[in-house]
Amino acid sequence: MGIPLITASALRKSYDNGREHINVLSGLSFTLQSGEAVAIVGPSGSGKSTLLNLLNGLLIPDGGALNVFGVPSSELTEKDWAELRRMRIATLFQDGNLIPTLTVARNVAFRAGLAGLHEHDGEALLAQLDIADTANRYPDQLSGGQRQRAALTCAFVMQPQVILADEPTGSLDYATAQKVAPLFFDAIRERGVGALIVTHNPELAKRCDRVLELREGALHPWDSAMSS
Amino acid sequence: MSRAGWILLALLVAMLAGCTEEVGRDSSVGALTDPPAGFRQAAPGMRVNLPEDMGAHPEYRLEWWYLTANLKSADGKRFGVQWTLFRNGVRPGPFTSVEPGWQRDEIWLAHAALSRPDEHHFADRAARGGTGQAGVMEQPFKAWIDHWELRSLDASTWEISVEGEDFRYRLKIQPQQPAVLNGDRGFSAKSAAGGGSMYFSYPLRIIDGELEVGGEKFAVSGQGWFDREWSSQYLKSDQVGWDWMALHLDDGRHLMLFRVRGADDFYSATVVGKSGKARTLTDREFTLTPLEFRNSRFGSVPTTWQLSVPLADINVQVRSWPGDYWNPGALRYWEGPVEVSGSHTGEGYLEMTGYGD
Amino acid sequence: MGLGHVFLSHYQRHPGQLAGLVLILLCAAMLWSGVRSLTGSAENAVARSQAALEPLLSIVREDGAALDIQDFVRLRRAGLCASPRMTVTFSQSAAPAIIGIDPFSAGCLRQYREQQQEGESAALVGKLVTQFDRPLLMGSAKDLLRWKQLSLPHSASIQWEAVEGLSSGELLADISVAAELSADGRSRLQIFLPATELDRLPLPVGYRSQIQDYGVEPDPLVNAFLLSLDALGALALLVAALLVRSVYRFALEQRRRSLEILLRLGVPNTHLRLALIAEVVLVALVGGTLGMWLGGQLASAMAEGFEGTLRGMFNVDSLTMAGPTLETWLGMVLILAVVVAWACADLLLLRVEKQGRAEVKTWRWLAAPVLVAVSLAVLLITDKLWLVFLSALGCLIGAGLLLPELLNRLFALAERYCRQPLLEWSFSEMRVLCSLLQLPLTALAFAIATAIGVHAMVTGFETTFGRWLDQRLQGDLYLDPGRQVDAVEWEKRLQRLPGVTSVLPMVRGRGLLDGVPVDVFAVDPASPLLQEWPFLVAVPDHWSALVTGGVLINEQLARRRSLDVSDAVKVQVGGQVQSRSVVGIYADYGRPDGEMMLPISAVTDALPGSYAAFVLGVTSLGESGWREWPEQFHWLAESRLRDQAGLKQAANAAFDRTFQMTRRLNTLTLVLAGTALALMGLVIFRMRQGSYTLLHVYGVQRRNLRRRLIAHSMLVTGLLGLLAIPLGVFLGWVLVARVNPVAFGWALPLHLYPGFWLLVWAACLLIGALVALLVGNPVRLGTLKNE
Repeated sequence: MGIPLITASALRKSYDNGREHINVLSGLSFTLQSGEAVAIVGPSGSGKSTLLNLLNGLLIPDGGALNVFGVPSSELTEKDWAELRRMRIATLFQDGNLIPTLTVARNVAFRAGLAGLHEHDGEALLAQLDIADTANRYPDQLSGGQRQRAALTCAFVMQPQVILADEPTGSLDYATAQKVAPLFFDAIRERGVGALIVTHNPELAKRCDRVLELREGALHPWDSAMSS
Repeated sequence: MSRAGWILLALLVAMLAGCTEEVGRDSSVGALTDPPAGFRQAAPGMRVNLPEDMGAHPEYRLEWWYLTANLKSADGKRFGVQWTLFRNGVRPGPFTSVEPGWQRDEIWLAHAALSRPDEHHFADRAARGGTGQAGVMEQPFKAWIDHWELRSLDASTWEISVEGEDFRYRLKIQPQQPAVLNGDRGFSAKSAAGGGSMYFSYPLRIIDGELEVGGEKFAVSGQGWFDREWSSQYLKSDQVGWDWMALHLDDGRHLMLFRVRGADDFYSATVVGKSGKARTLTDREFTLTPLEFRNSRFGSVPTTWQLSVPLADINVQVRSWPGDYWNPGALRYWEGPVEVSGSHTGEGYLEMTGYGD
Repeated sequence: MGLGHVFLSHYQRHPGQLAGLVLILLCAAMLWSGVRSLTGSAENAVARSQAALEPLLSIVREDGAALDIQDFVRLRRAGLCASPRMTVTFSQSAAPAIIGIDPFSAGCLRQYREQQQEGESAALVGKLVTQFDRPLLMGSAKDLLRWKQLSLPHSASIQWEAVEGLSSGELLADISVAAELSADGRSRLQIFLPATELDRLPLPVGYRSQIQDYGVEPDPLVNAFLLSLDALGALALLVAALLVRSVYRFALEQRRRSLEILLRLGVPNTHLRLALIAEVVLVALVGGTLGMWLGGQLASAMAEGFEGTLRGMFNVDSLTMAGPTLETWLGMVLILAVVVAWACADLLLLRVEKQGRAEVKTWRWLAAPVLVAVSLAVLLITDKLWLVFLSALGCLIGAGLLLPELLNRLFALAERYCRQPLLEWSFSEMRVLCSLLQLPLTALAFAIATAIGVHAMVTGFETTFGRWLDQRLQGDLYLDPGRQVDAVEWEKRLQRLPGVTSVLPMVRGRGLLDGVPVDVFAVDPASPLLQEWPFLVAVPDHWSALVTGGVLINEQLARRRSLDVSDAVKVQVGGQVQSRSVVGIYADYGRPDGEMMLPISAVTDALPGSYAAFVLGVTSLGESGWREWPEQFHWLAESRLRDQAGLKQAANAAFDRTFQMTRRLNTLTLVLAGTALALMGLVIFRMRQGSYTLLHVYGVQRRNLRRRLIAHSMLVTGLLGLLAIPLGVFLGWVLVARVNPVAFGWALPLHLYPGFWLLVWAACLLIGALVALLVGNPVRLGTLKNE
């Protein structure tokens, strides 16, 4: 196995929606290591997205400890988190989050540029993911699958150490999902990236090294026999 | 006889504005039917004094000098001529200042018309009293407004000169003496309930005259009728108008008749013999009935009448000339020449008021 | 009906949109109806003021005695259609004069016989007749009040009635009433006659006629002035149209979706359209009705200044503010309904349109330059004011079509050539902003351009006017005798006053130049006080040329009659006609009348309407004690003396009033556009939060994003401001070189005021910054889910 990249212990996060106080996460503990793909499953609304947003600094935990690349999160400023997100932690969303006003190639270049990389393997990545022909098209001109692959390219081009993916195949049909998934995992294994994947898709979950269930605000091992 | 003097106010406004203003009929009728406030009223027993009564009567509200004439040119062309000078008192006189000044005491109004079969020309003028722009002098007799003038040339002759936009005339007139006192020695009742005017007339002979109409000049002569009337309340409130005629029969007699239309119609007439002797007729001594109506521009009016005076063996039809003889204004009145036929022949003038509203 | 509820629910959810819509329409309706109300009343007043071209004669006695009632009677008895007028003036200051007429003969005068118009004058005469038995005084409420305050002894039984349609400072009455009141003042009897009467009849012996009035030429310039104001109102409507359209386009996607759902649910197409039309009409009704009421208030507030301008500049009097009629209300609602219908045309037609990244619409690139070229050509050639406005509008619209595209291209260019990734993103963001805010930006551009143009015109005018005034006013004191006096006699007397070094008599009157009625200005060409007189063009030695058969004319006259130096003209003063040659043209700002200058020797006593005033040169003005002269010298008792400073002040005040309305309207339009842009900007930025949040996820700090947001906003508005400046200069040129000569009769050089541009540009930046600051935090995590 690899080096621990992100360690969370007894994380707490709650929301106030005006009427009631909701405890989303309470006492959540977890460690992500390099080179491993961890799947997080759980009923919708259980706080999976919240968990991701806590791990990449978009949200601050109410309690508990978070350790990112060996540094406690309490010592990280907003600037630090931003840098982390730019260079080391990539976040993927369900719908292929690309900048709609830039072409695919420029999106890729943009991400690389943000990460401070003057040279990057964006072109090779595009070819590897079989979307080299879409390089000069705009995101709204791509199909769902192509968009997700482009998002993947962007994520990998910045040479991250951690990938947080929120339902990466959620908006893809079965066939396309089947095509995208292996590419995803190949890239992860190749680069020794630590990936945390939130998913509904049991097939995707099975491809991961570990599957955890987010239930009642904490992570538990997932019993596939009990899955719905 | 009562004339269209009540048209005064409405016509003044219409004339000045150059357009016809519809002042309510009631307000103008008021000039004739309102009881006099401070003005003197004609009553039975009053007498006519000449020549004073040829002049103005400032104590009375309304009076006029009224002339109609039937004229013929040398080649037989027929003309009818009318000229009226009205005086409307705003305040009862007599007025203190003798000097001319800008006053608001009385208004003078004049109408002049020249008629031919199917043709009618009209002109009017107005002036305030007290300036000298209009007025009447009794000795020597002169009645004028601006450049229109009726004056006596000598003891027996008058001259009238009138100029309108599209016609003019100048006539030498001889009034036939003595004056004809209408009604009861000059007091002419207008309804059975009392009230009326002081009213005398002269039959006229037009001995010489020239008129110009349509660019043509004509030398004319003929006969006519002159009315002098004054009062402060002519009509009762139920009376709507009158029909009046002055007829000249070929046998030398003259007739003046009128009918005042109201709740009960009131009739009166005067017959003047060849010698000039006049006699008032009561309503039992003659009958005057409309025979035919004409659809004129302003409604249906009786233009042909049947007149019978059994005592005088007169049974005639009075027929208006063809055409419309409306004098314009908010309160129009008909003033047109007529032909007499039947037991006697002759000519004259017909006036009708209170129709076509 | 359930459909109504569905429609209503959209606005329930977005009340800001509805409020914005109604507010924009309200403002536009207010501006438009306010302007129209004023210009409409002015048009009526102008029609009334236009007396007949028929010359009017005034009768005088050969022996020079004053006229009296007997003269009137004599003329009437001769058969002439004469009418008297008694003018009674009072010595108290600002006391109205009593004009006594004879209603029975007033029909002789065309003024009281207007059959073509409403017959208002005729109606007043009619009133004098029907109220003949009562002493009646008629006039405007203001004048009647002033007269009542005089409490004259003979006025106990006078009755008064406020009427519209009389000149201010005059009360109308029957001549007998005037005669009664003349005991308290000074009266003068005149007798008038239409000139045509003398073709019919000769005057009686002992009388002769004088020209009282040549008749007034209908003034084309006042209509031009009114048209200019209307144009401003129309601009407000245009701006509002653009803004309303942008409001509708915002919600387009949302509403189209709900409309499509309704369609799928089986609601027939026509029902939807009808519901939309009902919405349009309702919004137009509310906006229009409220706007009209506000417009009425606006018009009342501006009425006095406007009236003053009309009176001072165009001699148009008696402005009657008619209340809004059913027609005006219907018209307003209709205009607004059309505007709104155009704005939501996409919805009405249920048309599908592609949105998203900034697309280049090729037809715009073709149509817009063509429009601009054609409009420019028309603008350069035409002489008609309405065409000038129309072609300027065409240029504006063409530029408006190009402007957003231009911005887009500029940003695209920058985007392509910058290497820094975040900068690249910023430019692409700004392109999106421009595309989304296209319409409000265009509206603001129009408003800015107009502001710059109007400012250029007004301020340029001010400086030129000021300089011109300095050159014209060479004297130290200006004397207005207060009544008609003998110029020669007074000149001698004034020379003898203490400290007076030179006296220049200025005799004004009316005359004819080539048959056209103009003002006559007669001066002594040798006077030193004239030496600095500014001329646009003149022969050398023009003052001596003036004496020997020359005439000087003002710019307005030269323009109208296409006259130039050395042209021969026929000049008629009084009864005699002379041939003279134009020796110079001078600028004459502040009034539209044509004017000619003649040597005083060429002008006889027969000059109609002649009035003499004097300019004095005084040594050491401060010590001369000139202010006490009217008390010291009894013959100066009624005179008015003013020093140069006072005169300049008065002239500038009159000038200010003229442009006050224009300035105010302009500011209002600018505020409207700026506010609308700010409000829309707020909404748009909230919509763009997703974009910024995405970048935050990519690892850009919030602080950075916030700064960028402000920068984006300021850059867009700032760039717009910069692009609007040349448009503004162009409009300024249109106003100064095309509109002014046609509307007012004089031309001005175009002045540029970079300082004002800077101000406007700073305002644009400020708007941009303000909006962005108001947005606050550009990052909202919730937006991530809606990708």
